[in-house]
Amino acid sequence: MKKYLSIYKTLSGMNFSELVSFRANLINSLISNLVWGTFSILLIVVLTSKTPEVFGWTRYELFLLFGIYNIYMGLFYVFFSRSFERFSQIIHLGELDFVLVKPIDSQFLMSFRYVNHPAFLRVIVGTIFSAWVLSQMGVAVTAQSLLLMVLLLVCGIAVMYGIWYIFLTCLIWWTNLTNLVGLLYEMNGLTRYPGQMFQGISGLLFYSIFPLTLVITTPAQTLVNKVNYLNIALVAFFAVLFISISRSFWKFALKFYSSASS
Amino acid sequence: MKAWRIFLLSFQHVLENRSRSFIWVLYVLLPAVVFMLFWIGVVKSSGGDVSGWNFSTITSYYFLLTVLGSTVIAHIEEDVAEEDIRLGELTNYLMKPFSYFWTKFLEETPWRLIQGAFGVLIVIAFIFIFGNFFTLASSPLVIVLALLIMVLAYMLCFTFKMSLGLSAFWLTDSRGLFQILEVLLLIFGGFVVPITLLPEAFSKIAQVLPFSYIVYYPIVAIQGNLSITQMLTVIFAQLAWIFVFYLVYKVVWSEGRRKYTAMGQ
Repeated sequence: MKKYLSIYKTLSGMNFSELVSFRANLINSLISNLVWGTFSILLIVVLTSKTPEVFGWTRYELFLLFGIYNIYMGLFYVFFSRSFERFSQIIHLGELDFVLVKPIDSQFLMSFRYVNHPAFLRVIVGTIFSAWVLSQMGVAVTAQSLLLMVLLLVCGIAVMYGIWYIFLTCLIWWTNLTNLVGLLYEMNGLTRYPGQMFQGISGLLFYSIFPLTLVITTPAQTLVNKVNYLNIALVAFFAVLFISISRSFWKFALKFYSSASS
Repeated sequence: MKAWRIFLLSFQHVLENRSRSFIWVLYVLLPAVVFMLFWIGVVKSSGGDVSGWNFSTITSYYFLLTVLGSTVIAHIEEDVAEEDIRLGELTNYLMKPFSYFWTKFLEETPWRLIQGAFGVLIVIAFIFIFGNFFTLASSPLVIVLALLIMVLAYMLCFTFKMSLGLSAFWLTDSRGLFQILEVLLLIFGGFVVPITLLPEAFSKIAQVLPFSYIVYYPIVAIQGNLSITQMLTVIFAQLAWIFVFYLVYKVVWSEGRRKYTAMGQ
């Protein structure tokens, strides 16, 4: 564990040096994160402009959901987005060979090789917006609910990480689906809506996306003191489940990896 | 004949990548379905009608959005900026006796046709299952005019994105600019909600920007929600915007080519 933390620190430092070396890239990354963070907020303002309440959620509760979504997405982007964006290319071009021959865990390197520091900006946008929404709602946040929310966010990111990794592992067989990662970004967008919204769709489809509907709504409910212990337990369960599946599936899939020139 | 050959070669390339095309259609379908589910909830909680939009018009709007989003939205700007200008592929185009603009048009069109075909298949499946909730224009004249609006929407989007891509002649990294305009297109084009459902200030801005002529107006035209006069006004506005962006393209292309260097090619 200590060895991997040390490697991650080195990788993060390398990524940061690279980031500040290319000023245009840094400015663009900052603009990009600011734009998408702002868009997420504008989106819910636009969607709720004609209604004070939908699916049992008030306008400000929905604002909070989108604010927390920004924090969560910002963190997901910081730790995983760049590595996952390169995932398909690494497999498609046979570069996975160089990952497999290194004396560290291949899943660790595929997940944490690149760090997207500018995405912290999105976390800041989300935090400021969520704090404003909470003040408008007159909700007093306790240290206990804040701690629980942070733990749930970590579990939520673990759920999404597991799901992403399972899908991306399929690229070992479908090497030309290099745009799969974009679809997964769209899938992340599902998490910012109330779970009740999806209850109208067919049973199988609803249960397929059920874990996603808990990732953001559960911490948001916790923050406004509407604690749902069943949902908290489910988020923790799904985190363990999807991480375990991603691990086993990756090991299984590697048996079928044949490199680019084989 | 040469143009037809370029088109066929591009079509062949797109067919080889049909699974990727299908994934790209899902990019459009997934958010469209999510917005649709959200608005169904809003319509239900508002007693069945929100500013003239009901369950049937809102569902058909978002399914048509899947077709339009796949068919008329060109994704040429990154190709122009990254592959052609930054990595030097433009040299290959400059060496050939064909217009760069029209060659890119012939390369992009097959992608739109194949993705549009996937979108149509999804909508047909939807009509088959939920036929009662789908509204489309029935008058032949309206359908012909709506199809013309769709073709012009593609031309408008393509010309706009080509001009945008050429910004790479001056900018080291254009992605920030692309993403700002992408967000403007999403909000003011009608991707998130029909522009009549936007807050009033946003709706006024949307009326003066070109984005609604790319997505919103083609959809409401094929839904049969525009009169013949309104459709003719839309066509006139689209032609005016195409003219403006084509002029921009010509100026930027002429100036930008002088700055272009492709080292090592």
